[in-house]
Amino acid sequence: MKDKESKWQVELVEVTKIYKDTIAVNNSNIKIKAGEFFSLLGPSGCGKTTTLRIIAGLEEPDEGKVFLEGRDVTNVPAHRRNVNTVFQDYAIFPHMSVYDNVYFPLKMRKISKKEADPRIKRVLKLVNLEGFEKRYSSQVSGGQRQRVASARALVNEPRVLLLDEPLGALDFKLRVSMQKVLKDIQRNLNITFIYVTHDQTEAITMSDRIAVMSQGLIHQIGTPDEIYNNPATAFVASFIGEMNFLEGLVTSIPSSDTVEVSVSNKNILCKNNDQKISLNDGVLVSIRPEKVHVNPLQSLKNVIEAELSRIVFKGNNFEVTAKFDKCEVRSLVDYKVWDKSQKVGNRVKIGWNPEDVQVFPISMKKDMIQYE
Amino acid sequence: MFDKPRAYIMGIPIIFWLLTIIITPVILMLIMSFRQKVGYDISNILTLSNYLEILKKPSYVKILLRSFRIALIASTLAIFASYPLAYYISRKIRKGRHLLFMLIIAPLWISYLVRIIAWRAILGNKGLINSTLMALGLIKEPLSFLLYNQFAVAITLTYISIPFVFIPLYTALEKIPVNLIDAARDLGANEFHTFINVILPLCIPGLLTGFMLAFIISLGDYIIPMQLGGTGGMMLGNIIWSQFGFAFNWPLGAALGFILFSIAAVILAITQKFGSREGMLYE
Repeated sequence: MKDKESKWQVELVEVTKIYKDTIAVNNSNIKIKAGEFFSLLGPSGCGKTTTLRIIAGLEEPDEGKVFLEGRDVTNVPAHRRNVNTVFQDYAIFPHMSVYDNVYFPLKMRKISKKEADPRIKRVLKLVNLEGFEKRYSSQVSGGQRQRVASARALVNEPRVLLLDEPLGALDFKLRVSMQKVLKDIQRNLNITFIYVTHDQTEAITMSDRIAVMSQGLIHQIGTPDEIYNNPATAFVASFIGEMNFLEGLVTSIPSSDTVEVSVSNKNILCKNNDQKISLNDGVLVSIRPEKVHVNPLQSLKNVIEAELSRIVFKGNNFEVTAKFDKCEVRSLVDYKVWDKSQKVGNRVKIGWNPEDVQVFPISMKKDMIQYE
Repeated sequence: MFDKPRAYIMGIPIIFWLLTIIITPVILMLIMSFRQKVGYDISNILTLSNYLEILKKPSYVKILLRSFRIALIASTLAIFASYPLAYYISRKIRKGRHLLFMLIIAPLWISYLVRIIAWRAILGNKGLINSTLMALGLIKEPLSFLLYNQFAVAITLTYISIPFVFIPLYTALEKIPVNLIDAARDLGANEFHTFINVILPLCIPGLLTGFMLAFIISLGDYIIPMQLGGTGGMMLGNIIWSQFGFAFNWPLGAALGFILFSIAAVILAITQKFGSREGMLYE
């Protein structure tokens, strides 16, 4: 296939990868801009690591093409691609010192140690590992190992850095500080990061764009804002952040941008985000807890009488669960706003705006994340 | 506080075991090597004369060096024969890996003597090689250099050593995480450079263990030289055997034996030093 002009740095075209009887990657199309922080997000086994390995050249797709800067690299082996990977368990060579690990990619390019030395020193400084040159991987901590792996992958100055759950093995505090380090490196060096994670918070806080995957399928590609506020499928809605789901039937479509859904004989006005929905369709109604108001002061289009069934203190806010018929709706209420005299069993009004409610076809229910 | 004496008490059986089975026989052999054969008797006076005799007689030194050389050749050949095998089975084959592993170590279940006689059938005048070459018309007379010399001994020792080299090599190779290979490829190493820079250094402990086992097995062997070595293929083991078995010169045999034991101990110590790095490599 002829190479084509492209403004995309990384492009996957209809890529499919099948292992024995499972489809690891199902007809994926991804386009990534130069300098972008792009995340592949999904639960374990969703195909995100396989996608990354296909970009790295460590895995060959069964179908489809991979382009790097417009060049078809589908059949180019890993060692001849200008991308480098930070592996999940770091894959630091145990028989080499930190210095020699970082020198390795330069050595493979036949760069002498003398010539490589300033570059190695610079990249070790970048990841804050000065003074650790002579140590072996068994002599440094988990966080330092992560930085050795990053330094080694960065020393070649790749155009694209692939990161496979790079912070997955670290504890929470260290993870947060390493997120900042990685983000700074990405911004300062202006290289493209493709970042695999199952941690939605990590993806949302760090990425420019995110591809949300499940069972080999890409459900949505978008900015963190788009993915959070306009999830394309019920899976995305359930995977990203907290979400209330209610089942109902479409009773009327009053206008092109609203639908009315009956949930336990209560009518709820929703945003018509899925134009294919028609009358009498079964739907999933989804509302973020922070959009649900308890005993609202302002007038809202959707107000339902309910009974408080649970109140959980969460520090800066309360998670309040209200029940009507068999439906439960969780609400996040700011600490200062919440009326502390309220008790479980009290009758309250819960309400929300139609534009904060999305509907999905009921058929999407099976794809949703079931944590219980 | 109570742990320490308990640990000592629990250690007693082990110490007893070591003393009776390993240390005492060695000490007895060492003492024997300093005694001397007088007529048909062995005197109780301790002397260095056995060792001096060994050093003075060029034939002993010659056979010692030859044993060393043959053992070195056999263990090196065993490494070269086992490495590709172990590499291929541990890293390239997915299906039937265990079957192949079993096939390679299967000869260990067959009698040592049978396997040695089998090599006589392969290398002999009417053996497999000669009869095949003659049937093909490549030679008229059977090749006589195949049997009853150092070559035959080295080849057979190599064959005997292969499973002992294969097992530690296979284990070392199989233990190398796939991720490291992926990382090497990802960082620009082709298959050859990955092998030289990552795989080979990481299996050095296995390589050393295998080499040590093959070397010690070969150095002390006396049945193979006896069966296949002829007069020119005699090794130290044969001389020790003849001192105990025919010459009834136990002190001299013990001295020779102790020299062999010391060489083995030194090699063991050296490989142990490198082998212990293994722990560091994988934390």
